[in-house]
Amino acid sequence: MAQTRIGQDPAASPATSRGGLVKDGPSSPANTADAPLAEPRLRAHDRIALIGSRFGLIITWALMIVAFGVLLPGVFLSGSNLGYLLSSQATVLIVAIAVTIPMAAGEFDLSSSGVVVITVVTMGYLNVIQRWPLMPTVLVALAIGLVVGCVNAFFVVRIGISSLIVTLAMTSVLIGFALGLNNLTVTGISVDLVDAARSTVGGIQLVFFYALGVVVVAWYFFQHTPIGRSLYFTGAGREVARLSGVRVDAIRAGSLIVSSLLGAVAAVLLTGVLGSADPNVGTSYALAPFAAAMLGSTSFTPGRFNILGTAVATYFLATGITGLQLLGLAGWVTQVFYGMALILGVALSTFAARRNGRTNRA
Amino acid sequence: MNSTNQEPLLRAEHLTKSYGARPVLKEAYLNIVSGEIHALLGENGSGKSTLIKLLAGQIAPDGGYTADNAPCVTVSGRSEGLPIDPKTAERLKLGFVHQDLGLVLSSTVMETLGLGRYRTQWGRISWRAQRSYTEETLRRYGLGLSPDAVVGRLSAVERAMLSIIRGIESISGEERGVLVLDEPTAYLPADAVHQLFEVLRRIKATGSSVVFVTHRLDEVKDVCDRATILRSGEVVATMDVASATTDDLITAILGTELTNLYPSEHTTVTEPVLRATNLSGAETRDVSFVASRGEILGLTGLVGDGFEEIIGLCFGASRGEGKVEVKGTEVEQKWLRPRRAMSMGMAYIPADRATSSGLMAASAAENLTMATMRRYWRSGRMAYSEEHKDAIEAMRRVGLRPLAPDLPLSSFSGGNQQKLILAKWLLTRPHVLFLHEPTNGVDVGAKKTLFDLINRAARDGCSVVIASSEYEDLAHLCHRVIVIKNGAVSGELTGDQLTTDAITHRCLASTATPATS
Repeated sequence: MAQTRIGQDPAASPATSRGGLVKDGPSSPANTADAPLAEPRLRAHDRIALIGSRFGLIITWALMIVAFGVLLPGVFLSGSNLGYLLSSQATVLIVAIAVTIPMAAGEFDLSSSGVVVITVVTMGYLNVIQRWPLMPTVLVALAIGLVVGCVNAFFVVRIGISSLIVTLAMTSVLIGFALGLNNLTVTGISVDLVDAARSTVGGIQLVFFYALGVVVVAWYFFQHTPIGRSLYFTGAGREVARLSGVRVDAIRAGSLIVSSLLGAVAAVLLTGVLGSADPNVGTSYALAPFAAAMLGSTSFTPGRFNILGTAVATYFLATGITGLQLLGLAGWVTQVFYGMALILGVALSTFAARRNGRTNRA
Repeated sequence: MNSTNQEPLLRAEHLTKSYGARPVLKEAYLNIVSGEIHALLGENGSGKSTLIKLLAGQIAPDGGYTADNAPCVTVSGRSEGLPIDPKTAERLKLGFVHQDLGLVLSSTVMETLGLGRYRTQWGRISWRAQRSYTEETLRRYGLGLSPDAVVGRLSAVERAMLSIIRGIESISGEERGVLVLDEPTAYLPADAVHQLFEVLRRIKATGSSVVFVTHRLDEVKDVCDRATILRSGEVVATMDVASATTDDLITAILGTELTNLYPSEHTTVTEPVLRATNLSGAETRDVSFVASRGEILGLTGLVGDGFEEIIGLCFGASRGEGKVEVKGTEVEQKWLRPRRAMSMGMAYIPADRATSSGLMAASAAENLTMATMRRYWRSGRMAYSEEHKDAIEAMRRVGLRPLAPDLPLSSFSGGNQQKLILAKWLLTRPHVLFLHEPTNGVDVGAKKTLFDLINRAARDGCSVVIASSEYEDLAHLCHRVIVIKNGAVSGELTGDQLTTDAITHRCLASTATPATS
C-alpha cells in the first residue's frame, strides 16, 4: 500500500515514509497526508517567549512611562511634556527611518549626521547670509542630500567598497565642508519654514506629523510592496536575491540615496524647528538613529529591520532620556544612554536573528 | 575483513540529546573496531550530525543521567565523559572533518595545515620547517596548491580536500586513532572521491579507523566494512556491508522499501527550446548545444573542467561571451542578467543552497514566492492571504513537511529545503530549468521525490538541463548527456550508450592527472 503510493505520487512519498518512520502500524495514515498545520505546535512557554520578543519593546516602554509617571507626578505625564517629547524627537525619527532603509538592504549609512550638518549649515548660509528665498534654499538642501546619496551609492555599489567605510569617511568630508562654509550659528531663518515646522496642533508641533507621514509611507513600502520584500531579500542574502531576479544593485543604491535624501529632509525641518542653523547639531544624529534601528529590529518581526520597530524604539529611547533628565540627571546621560542602547540593541538583534534561523553568509 | 570479536577501538555509549522537547538522539551508540571504515547512515534528520557533534564535544548531551548510563566515549581503552574538549579529542586521537569544513577563509594553506601544530624551533615558529612540511603533505595527497594560497580563493573541491587532509594529519602518528568524516564527498568530483578512498584505505591499513557519514550508498558499498544505521534518533542496525545489498541498506534507512529510485523514461519530441551558441566563460570556451522540449539533458565532466559553469552562463549568473536563445528570443550572453533570463523563461537552481539558492532566515512562503512575488502585488498591496494559500498548495504538491509556510527555511531538513527551492522555480513555469548538483546533501527519500518532480516537469514540456558529477543519477535520469572536457564539448551520450560506466569512462579518458590540474 505504502509502496504503490510512493511509486505513483511524488507528493505523497515523504509523507508516507515519514509516517512509516514514526510508527509502523495501522495508525500511521492518520498523521500523514491531511493534517496540514498540526505541526509544529507551540507550547505555552514558547508562545510567551514569542510574544515577549515581538512586543517586549512596547511592554518595556509602557512600564517605563508608568514608572516615570509615578516618580515624577504631574510632570512627566503632563500634556506639555508629552507634546515636547513627540515634537523634539520628530527629526531624529525621520533620520532613524532613513538609516533603517539601507540597513534592511544590508548596507550602513553612517553619513546621516554629516548630511544633517551640511544641509543645516547650507540652509543658514543661503537663506540668511545670502538672502535667498526659502524655496530655492530648500531645493538646494534636498539636492545636497541627493548628491551625497548618489556618491555613496557609486562607491558602495559600483566600486564595491564597504558602505561602513564610505559613509564614515563621507561624514568627515561633509562636516569638514560645513565648517568651512560657516562655523557659527546663524539665526533668522525664514518665518515660513519656522511656522511650517513649529505651529502646534493639540500641543504637538507640525514636524511630528511630517515624521509620522514618513513613517507611514516607509512602513507601507516595507510591508506592502515588492520593493520592501526585495530590500529584505537583498539584506538577508544578496546572491540568492540576485539569482532570483531581484535588482540588488538598484535596491542597494536606491536605499542609500533615499537615506541621504531623507536625512536632508530631516535637516530642513530641523532648521525650521530651531529657527536657526547650528553647525553642532550633528551629535544628536550620529548614534541615536542607529540605536533605534537596531533596537527596533528586535521587535514586531524579530531579526528584521522594520519601520514600526524603529519608530517605537526612537521614542522608547527618548522617553528614557527625558525621564532621566527630569529626574535631575545632567546632559551627559544622553551620550551614555544612546551608546549603551546601541550596544544592547545590536546584542539583542543578533540574538533575535539567531533565534529566527541563521542568516545567509554573504 | 570484519573483526567484530576484537575489542573496539572506539566505543561511544548512551548518546541522548533533545532540542527543546524534541528528542533527536535516544540512547544511541557507536562501536568502531580497529582498522575498519564504518559508515554512519540515516535520512536527513535521523540524528547523524547530532551524534558527530556530540562526539566532537561541539554540543553537550542531555543531563539527568545516572552513573550507569553516563554518556561517554572510549578510545583505545581510555574513557572520557562527554562533552570532551578539543584538547581531549586530540589526546584520544579523534579527528573530525565537519560538513562545513571549519576553515578560516582568510588564512593560507600553510596556516590551515599548521593550525594547532606548528613546528617550533627554540620557542618560535620555524616557518621554513612549516613550509617544507606543508609542501611535502600537499604533494603526498596529490594536491597541487601553493602553501601561500588563500583558502577563500580555493575552489570548493580544493577546500574540501584541504580540510580532509588536515583531519587525516591530526590522527597520524604512532597510536591508532579514529577519523570522523561528515559527508566529505558532497562537494567532491568522482576522481577526487576515488583519491580520498585510496587515502582512507591507507589509514585503515595502519590499524586506525574511519567513521564515514554519507548519503551515497554506492560509496558505502565501495569502501565501507560495516555500517551503523540511525532512524529517528535510534540505532536500528549495525550491518556488514559486504553481506548487505543496496536495497537492504535503503530498507534499513527508511524503515520501508523504496520502489525504484529513478522514474521511468519518457520519449521526447525534438522541438528545440534552448540553444546555446559559442558560450565562453572563465573555464569554458565555445560550448554550443541545444535542449529540446521535454528533454532532460545532462552536462558533466570532471570538476574543474567547466561543466558547472555553463548553466550559470546560460542564466546570466556570471559573465562571459556567446549567445543564448530560448523559444526564438536570442540574447548576447554579456547582456544577459538573471532577471532577463527569467523573463525569457529560464530558471536556475545553484548547488550551494546556503549561499546561492535559499534564504535561510526567510520563511518558507517568502522563499517560495521570491521569484514570482510581483504576482501578488495588486492594487497597491501585497495579497498576503493568496500568497499563503499558494505557498501551502506548492508545498503540498512537492510533499513538504512540515506544511508550515511561516517557518524559516533553516528549520527544514536539507532534502525539504531543496524540494522547496525546486517548487519556487516551478512556480515561474519555466521553459528551461537549470539544475546544478540538485541532490547535494539530500537523503535517499527526498532524492526520489526530486527526481520524480524533475521528470514530471520535463513531461509537462519543460526542458531540463542538469549539471552534475553524479554519473549514476545522470545515466538514469537523462535522455542525453554531454561531456565537457577542458572547457569544451568532448562527447555526447544517448540511448543505450548512456550508462554510468560509459559516462565515467568518457570523463576520465585521456586525462593525464585529473586531480592536480
